[in-house]
Formats: sequence, structure tokens, C-alpha cells
Amino acid sequence: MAGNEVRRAAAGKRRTKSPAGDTGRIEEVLRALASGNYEARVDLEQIGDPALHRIAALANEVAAHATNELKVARERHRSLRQGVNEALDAVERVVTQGQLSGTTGIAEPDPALAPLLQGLDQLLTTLRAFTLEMREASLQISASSSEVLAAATQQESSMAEHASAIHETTATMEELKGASHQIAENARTVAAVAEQTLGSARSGEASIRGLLTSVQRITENAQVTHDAMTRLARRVERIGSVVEVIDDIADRSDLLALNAALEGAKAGEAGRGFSIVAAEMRRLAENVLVSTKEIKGLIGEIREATDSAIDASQKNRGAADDGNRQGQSAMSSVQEIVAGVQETNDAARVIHLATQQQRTATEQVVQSMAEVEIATRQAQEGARQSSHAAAGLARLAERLSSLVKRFHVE
Amino acid sequence: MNGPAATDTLLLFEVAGRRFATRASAVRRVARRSVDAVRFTDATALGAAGSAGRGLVIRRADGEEALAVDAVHGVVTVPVHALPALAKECMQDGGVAGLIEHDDRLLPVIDLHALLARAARGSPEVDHGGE
Repeated sequence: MAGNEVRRAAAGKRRTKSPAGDTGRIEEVLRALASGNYEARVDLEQIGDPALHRIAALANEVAAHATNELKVARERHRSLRQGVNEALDAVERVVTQGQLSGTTGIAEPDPALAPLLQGLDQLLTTLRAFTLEMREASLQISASSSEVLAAATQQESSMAEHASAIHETTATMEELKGASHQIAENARTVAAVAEQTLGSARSGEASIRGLLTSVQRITENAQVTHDAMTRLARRVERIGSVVEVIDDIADRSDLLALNAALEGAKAGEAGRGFSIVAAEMRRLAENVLVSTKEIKGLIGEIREATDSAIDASQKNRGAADDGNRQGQSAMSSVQEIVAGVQETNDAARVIHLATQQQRTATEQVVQSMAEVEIATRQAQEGARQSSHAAAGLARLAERLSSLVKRFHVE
Repeated sequence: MNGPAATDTLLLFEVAGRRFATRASAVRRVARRSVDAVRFTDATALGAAGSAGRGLVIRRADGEEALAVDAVHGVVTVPVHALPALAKECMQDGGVAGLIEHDDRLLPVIDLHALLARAARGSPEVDHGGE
């Protein structure tokens, strides 16, 4: 429309060729150009003044040049706008679709946009690398958090078991403490009994020594008795021999009296006195025989008693010897017992002292176990919290992984 | 018992737990086995003497012989009763010469010669009388 107006202005002017008119027409065209009507031109045929004609020509050249420049500028502006729009599209794909693969896709960008697009491509490359690293990291975090969760759960379970075991151990140590106390008391009692036993053993040793002395005297007496009994047995044997002689004499006397009586009887009345004497002799001989028989019986009894006494004395001597040996053995045993009891006494004292120390140590252990139990409970609580944290971490890792998966890098 | 009883001096002796009598005139002496060399007869119709230390010695044609006895209780003078006729017949060769009463017991009077002769023949049977 502005061109039409310019042309109408030039046609009006051409009705009058004067310098003033030429100036006016040039001025009109310049004003139109100044107002942005780059199509306005001075109609050189309407310009009569040569000087103005040259100016008008120059003005037309300036206008033509400016018009070309404007066209170029507008083309560049379009190109820039297209590049920017494509860059914005790429950014939008990153934001809305997580598309990080490739570049902005602009093949021949405007030189003015080249730094921007290069930076954008660099940004995509960097984001892609970050995304890949984040994906890898999220996977590692997920795996690690799972391991941490498993470890924390196991630790929590272990700590629970430890706490239970420690509790039981503490209870056992409490019982052990009581047992140690009882053992200490028993050891003290044992030491006291061992002391008494030592005294009794020493008393027994003295008694056995006295017994051995008595047994020795018994042995000597048994020997004396045995000798006396042996002598008595010999005397009795001698008496027996004498009695045998007496008995034999009495028997001969009896026989002689019988024959005398027999002869007296054969002699009839003349032998009556002889027969009476013979009968008296025979009666005496029979009395002697009865007496010797009685003596023989007594000698037999004495012999049996003597033999029994000798046998008894031999047995007594043997028993005394046995008693002496047994006493010696008992003495040896008692001496060993005394030594053993002495050792027992010493050991009991050591045990008593050791058990007292053990009781003190056990009490300290019980105290320590109680503290350990508290620490274990706290560790168990910490393990439980670690489990919860690990579970939360695992969930976050899963969430991060899902977020990272939204970015396409291939 | 019947018939008259003649008094005689008898020697009382014991064999195998039984008492007997014999005429003192028939016995030469009382011997002792351990010191006399006379032959002793231990087993006769009266029985076997136990630990016979005594012997009633008689004279025989071939020498002396002794009846072993367990004990000799002495000499007594008592009536000797003859055997009843039937008993005497039954006893054949008369080993028992009569009977006596002593200490309220009836004892046979032994004929030592007949007894020892019978023992020598090997005939042990003899009647001990009413004991």
C-alpha cells in the first residue's frame, strides 16, 4: 500500500518540474524509507535538476541496498528461529520423554547457534553419562542395600540370639556364682574335716605304734607259752611212759595174782590163805590198773589240751606275726594316709582360696555379662534400626532405579 | 536144773561180752599174750576175743594151748549143776560141762579141752546153755 502511495506521490510531482518540486519528491521518498517503507523509490524521470537527480539516484541505490540487506536479515532470523525451536524440541524431549540418546539432530546450524547447540549436545552427552552412571550406581545401591538389609537382618537375628545366649549365660553364671559360693563353703568344710582327719590319722598312727608294741609282747609271750607248753608236753609224755610202766607192772601183778589164786584153788584147803592173799593182790592190781587207766585218760586229756595249747600258741604266734605284719602294713598305710591327708589338707586350703577367688571372679563375670547383655540389647536395637534403614535404602534404590530408567540413553 | 550139785572151784572169764566159767583144775595158768610163747586160739564156739591179752592155758598132748579171753574175773567156789539129760544128749561131745549160778546169772561151765579140740576140728557150734 505504501508503494502505491509513493507512486501516486511521484505522479503528482511530475506534473511540475521545478527544483523545489524535485526536492520535495526526494524528501517524500526519504521520509517513506525512514518510516520503514523500503520499497519507496524516487522516480528519477521526475527529477529535472541534475544535482538532485544524482542525489535521488544515490537515494534509490541506498534504498535498494537496504532492501537486500533486510531480506538477508529476515532469512537469517528465520534460520535462527528454526534452530532455536529445534533445540527447544530436543530439550523438551529430554524433559518430557527422558530421551538422552543421540544429539539435537540439527545438521547445519546457524553459526550463531553453533555454540548453543554444541553446548546442548555436550549437555546431553554429559546427562547420558550421568544417567548411565546413575543407573549403574542405582543398581549397585540396590544390590548393596539388599546385602545390607540381609546382613542387618541376619545381624539383628544374631544379636537376638546373642542376647538370648548372653541372658542364659548370665543366668548360668548366676547359678555358677551360687555354686562357687557353695563350693567355697564346702572347700572350707573339707579343709576343716581334713584337719580333723589329720589329727585322727596321727592319733591312729600312735595307736598302731602302741598296738605294734603290744603285738610284739604278745609274740614274745606266745613264744614263752609255746616253749612252756612244749616242755609240758614232754613232761606229760614222760608221765605217760611212767604210767605205762606202772600199768604193765599192775597187769603183771594182776596176772600173777590170778595165777596165785588159781594155784591156791588147786591146792585146796591148804591154799586158802594163799588164795586170799592172791585175791587181795589182784584187787590192788586192779585198783592200780583202774588208776593207771584213769591217769592215762587224764594224760590223754592233758596231751590233747597241751597239743591244743601248743597248736593255739603256734596259731597265736602266727596270728601275732600276722598282726605284726598287718600292724606294720597298717602303720605304713596310716603314714601314707597321714601324708595324703596332709596333702588333702593343703589342697583343701588351696581349693578354698581358689574358690573364693573364683567366686569373686564369677561375680565380676556376672556383672560384665549384665553389661554385655545391655550392650547387646542396644546392638540388637541398632541392628533393627539398620534393618529398617537398609529396607528404606533398598526402597529408595528401587525408586531411583525406576526414575533412571525413564531416561533413554540407547 | 535137776540132779545133785557138786561144789567145785571155777575160773570166771569173759569172751565177746559173755561170761563163762571153767574148772580151775583144767587151767594150768593164766598167760599173757605179749610175754608167753604159748599158742593162742582166738576164735572158738564162744566167739572171738577182742583185744585178748589173757589166755587160759591148758595142757595138750602136743604141748600147751591157750584160749584167748577178753578178761579173767577170778576164782570162785560154787556148786556146779549137771546138764539136763536132753541138753546133754543134744550137745553131743559135751563142750559144756555144767552150769553155775553167779551174781544171779546162769553161767555155762566150759570144758576147755573139748572146746579147743572142737575149734581145732573147725566146728564152731556150741550151746551156751540157758544164758
